[in-house]
Amino acid sequence: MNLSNDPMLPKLKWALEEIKAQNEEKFYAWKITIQHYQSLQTLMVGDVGSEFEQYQNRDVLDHSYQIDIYTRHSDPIVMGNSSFTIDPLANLAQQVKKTYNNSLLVSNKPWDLPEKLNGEFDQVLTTDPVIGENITKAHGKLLRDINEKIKTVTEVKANSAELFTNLKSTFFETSMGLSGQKQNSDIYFEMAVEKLPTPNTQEVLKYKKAISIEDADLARFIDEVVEETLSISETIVPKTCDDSTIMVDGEVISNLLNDIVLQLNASREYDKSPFFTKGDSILSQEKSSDSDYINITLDPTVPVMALTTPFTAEGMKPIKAEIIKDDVVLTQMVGNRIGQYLGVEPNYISGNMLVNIGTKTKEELLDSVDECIEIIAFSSLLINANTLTWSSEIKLGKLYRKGKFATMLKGGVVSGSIKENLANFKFSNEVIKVNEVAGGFHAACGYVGPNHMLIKSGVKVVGE
Amino acid sequence: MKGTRTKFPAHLQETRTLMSELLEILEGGRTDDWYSFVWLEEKKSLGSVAAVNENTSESLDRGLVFRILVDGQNFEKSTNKLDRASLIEIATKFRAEMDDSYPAVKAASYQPVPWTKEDLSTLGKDITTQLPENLDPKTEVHFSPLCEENPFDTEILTLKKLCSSMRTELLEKSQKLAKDNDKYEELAEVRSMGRQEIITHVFIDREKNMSQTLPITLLYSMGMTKTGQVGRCISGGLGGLEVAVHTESDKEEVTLRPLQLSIAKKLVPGRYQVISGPDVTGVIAHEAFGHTQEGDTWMKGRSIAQDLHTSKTKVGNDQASIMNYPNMFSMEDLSHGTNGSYFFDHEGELGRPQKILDKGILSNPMTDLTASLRLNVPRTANGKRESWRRPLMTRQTNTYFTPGDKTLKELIGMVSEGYLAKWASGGMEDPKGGSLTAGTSYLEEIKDGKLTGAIFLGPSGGHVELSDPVFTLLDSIIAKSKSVHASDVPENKFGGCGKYHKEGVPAGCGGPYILWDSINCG
Repeated sequence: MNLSNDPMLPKLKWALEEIKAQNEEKFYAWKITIQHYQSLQTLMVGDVGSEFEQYQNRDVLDHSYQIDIYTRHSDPIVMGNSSFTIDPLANLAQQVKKTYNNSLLVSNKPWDLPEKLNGEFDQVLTTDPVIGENITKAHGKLLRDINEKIKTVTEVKANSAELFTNLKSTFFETSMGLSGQKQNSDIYFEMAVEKLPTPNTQEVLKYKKAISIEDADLARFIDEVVEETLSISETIVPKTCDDSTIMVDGEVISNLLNDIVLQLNASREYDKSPFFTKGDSILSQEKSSDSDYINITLDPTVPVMALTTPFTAEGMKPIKAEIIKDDVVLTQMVGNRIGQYLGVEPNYISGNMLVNIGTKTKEELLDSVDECIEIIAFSSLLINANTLTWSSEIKLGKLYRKGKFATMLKGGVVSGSIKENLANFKFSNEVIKVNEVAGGFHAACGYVGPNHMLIKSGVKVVGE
Repeated sequence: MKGTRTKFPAHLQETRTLMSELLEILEGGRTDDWYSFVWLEEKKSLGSVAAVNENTSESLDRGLVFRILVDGQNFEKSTNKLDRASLIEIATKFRAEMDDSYPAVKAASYQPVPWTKEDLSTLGKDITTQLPENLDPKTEVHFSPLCEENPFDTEILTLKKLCSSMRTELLEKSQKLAKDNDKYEELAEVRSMGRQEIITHVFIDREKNMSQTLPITLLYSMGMTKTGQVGRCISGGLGGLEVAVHTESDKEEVTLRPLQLSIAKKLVPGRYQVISGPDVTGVIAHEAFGHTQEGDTWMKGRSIAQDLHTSKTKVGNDQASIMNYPNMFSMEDLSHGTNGSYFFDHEGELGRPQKILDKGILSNPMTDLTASLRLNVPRTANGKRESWRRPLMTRQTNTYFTPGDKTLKELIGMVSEGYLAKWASGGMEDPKGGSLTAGTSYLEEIKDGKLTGAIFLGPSGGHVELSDPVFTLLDSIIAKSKSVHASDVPENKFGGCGKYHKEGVPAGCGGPYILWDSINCG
């Protein structure tokens, strides 16, 4: 879908230019964003050895227009900015005028909007071609594949599942001469499974989020969920311990490291939020001699990943760069506006996290410590993005002693400080991809890195 | 009760009229085979942020949902292309698809409840006083809450002034605190955010034609130290600008609390007596048997509650009573509801209070239409969706513990060694496993029946998690504070819920101060 041909675009531009001409002294610039979003959503209930029964099937079409207006006003000069979601059925000129007036109420330090690109946009793969071609067919095929698989599963009861297939096109244009368009696909699948015989009080609820059908690999995902469900046995509450060793999976690693990376965003420095800058160590205590180190590169070009993009939110070309080397910050991520505010050159670094892997398998890591709690699922991992501390109840865990499974765990609270955790840890040598599409509950995140992490410092458990 | 009620927004009348035509397209001639409704929602939002980086925003989100329920399956088309031609085209295509797929049906259609069969005596005056006489399926009924300040009069400029003046006041307060006390540094940043959403819903099926306008107004402020310790407060709920007012205690929470937290001790993990304030009490109510009593979770076999209800197993002591109250329009000493209050749910079910846990015994679940039909239990007004873009599920509205007979001072006096937990910080439940975790930003120490003034962060320097099996927890209620509300509705807080980490909806929750005998704190 070519949104630059949207019949509303010239009308919006005309309305904006009209108000701009009437207010030449103060009207600095505008930006138009058009989004076209289609989502197919299927909610299902299940049973043993049969296809899922669909109870809600939805087809969503969302076509929206947003404008941003930037003004320069007052003495001394300040910059105003305001956004407005356009109602296509209402008077455009009035809506533009209102946005202009709203912008005049804002008094930020002035900055110059970019007038030319820092390089040509890369041709990056942000959409699964099958979904891009025909989302209805793709969703139907995914549903058939899920059902073909699930009806062969007789060892567990699949209680419910949800499948969302989404396709979004985004176009932007600014009065400074920048424009671009991209299309993003994503798949969300969740499944809740319990062991037979029922009833019981343990359930495995797992999510798969991917940009492409191949990466989603839902048949394999179902196998993994079934295998995990079958491994559940009687649980006990963990013992209270001031210095526990835990193992977490790639999804948790991506969450922990994503909050570290967010503190490298230079906007936090200007906003007076806690931040890291060049040369800072990301640790708060001395490094253990046998710990791995953290190396992170941001890459906006990895095919079909959540943070793969041809342009940044400011409309510039995103740049790939190494940002953390051996636990030390090499550079902040600096955009156009914040660069001007802080008096540093913008570098436009952004993208998916590429994280170094370790040398040992998960099993070897478990063998290497006297006792370890493997977190199968946190109830709700809450990370404080400011203090970089975290905590959660254990929804399900496994206790290992010298690499041998001892018992299942449930309940109790685990907490930690990421800066302490990174002083003594080991990554596994298997690579996993994690994709988190931006939503109300999560920051967007793309992660390619180790599938497991053994954390040997800064973890506290309170249980029995 | 004072104020006025807003009228149905005139700019939506044309679409409302069209919706009846659309309904006819969906089900004309097939009303014995399937049930349809048409749902319109409009959310007008105004926002202003006063901070190092200021901003203002204004948005309008309007979408329409077509629903057909046939043979136990719900089919929906949703769109924001709302011109007449597009809507008729979508409805016509949808109807053709359904005629093709269901030339005949296996089960008779669900038949909605007409006005003549509604039990008006259980609806509450806020609903019944707004019902016109001689109701029939075509009568356009409109509901809105009493507002002292008309939300449709609010402009960005008003919000901007509110936020800017609040930020200035809070900054001055924090600077004075730092100046007067050597152990404190000035706050790194103070932010105030004002937001108003005016949500209008229109629901039309073959028996009812209803609308509701729900203005939700919020003032949020946050103070932060250089190290990231944060104090925050939220004032607001269902109403106009009159509900967005910080108290002196709120302002202290933003200015003094982060400074105290920056030098707070870390909690030694363990089991302690805890008094939860309305905010934390509410999260426990929401997580404890709130999620577990959601009908769609029962329907999927994912809740422990169904078997416990059937077997009449006691899951808490006699003090453990929890309400689900959608049509709550006043609470404690406040004459407004929360952001979780409404007159009818997103499937047109009128709000009625329901006790979901009565002295430790579980009732029937909260339901949406599908869960009600599949479980063969009564419908309640809990069918909600994040927006027209998202699926409908059984969701909570206002969930709270019923009040007791003590004052807060009396509760504190009953604690020899323990903590007061006032500010919630997330929560999560496991409906199948019956465990619960509720976060609190910090704990205030109580010794020998008095607050010592000392505050504690979690063992790792973050928030504190309160976690236990639900049964253990609900059996450990020692006493609860009383309410001054005429109908014994304690304070409920402005809140939200993400079911299984997605599908965010407004959800109020609250209750009295509760003294718990022993909670795992870490």
